[in-house]
Amino acid sequence: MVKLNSRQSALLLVVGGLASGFLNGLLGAGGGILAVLVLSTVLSSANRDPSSPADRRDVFANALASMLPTAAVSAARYAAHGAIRIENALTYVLPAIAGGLAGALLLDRLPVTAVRRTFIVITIFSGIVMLLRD
Amino acid sequence: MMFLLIAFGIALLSGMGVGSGGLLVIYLTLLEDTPQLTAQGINLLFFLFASAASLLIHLARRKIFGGAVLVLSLCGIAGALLGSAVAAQISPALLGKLFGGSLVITGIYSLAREKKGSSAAKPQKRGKNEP
Repeated sequence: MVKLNSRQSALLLVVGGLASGFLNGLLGAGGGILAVLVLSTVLSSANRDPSSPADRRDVFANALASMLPTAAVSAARYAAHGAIRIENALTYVLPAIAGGLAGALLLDRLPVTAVRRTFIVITIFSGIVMLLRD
Repeated sequence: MMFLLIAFGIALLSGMGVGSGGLLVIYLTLLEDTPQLTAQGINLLFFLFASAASLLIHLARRKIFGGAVLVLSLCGIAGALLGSAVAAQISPALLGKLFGGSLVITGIYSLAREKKGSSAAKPQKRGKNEP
């Protein structure tokens, strides 16, 4: 992991924030991985105790906290452009809340690595399908 | 019913930090024939609800670095305004291709990180003459 000084960390947060926000606004998803990468680097650099590097779960929680307002603004702009209607999205509210809570509660108990790898394979496959379709 | 299960599963992945950004868009565009921009917008709202719920748990259990989060989110908002403006201007087909491309790139990158992390964790084999 690269070690940055405070100025470099600040610059990375600014550039990383702009980039992750742009991706989120452009594609309605993404940016999260970029936020995780930026925060991993910045938080590890700021940690002065080499025996306790920033926990991966802390990094994820911080990335989530930073992406939430970004996604809210993106969603508001999409609604302003007429791309979405709130009533259509209300169908998703209950399963979204239930699943989000369950995932956070079960984070420490489920085999995250195995799940993550399966998810990555599905993602790559789906991306290829989307690239190839007309 | 199937849709509720899929939505729940995607939110579960999101809450776990596995990532779920692409899955709902994939489901909506490939299986429900939803227009790309609409699918992306629905995904944003879905993410907001799922993440807000999981964040309540994470805030209680994890350490939050307010300064870093503030800078990242303010700059993220600026980036999002630009990104959403661009999204409204380009064709749905191009948007779909860009989305697909981003999935492949982030997927390969994530896989490489996973493999790097697991190989770093493996114990090193000893040579013949080593005690």
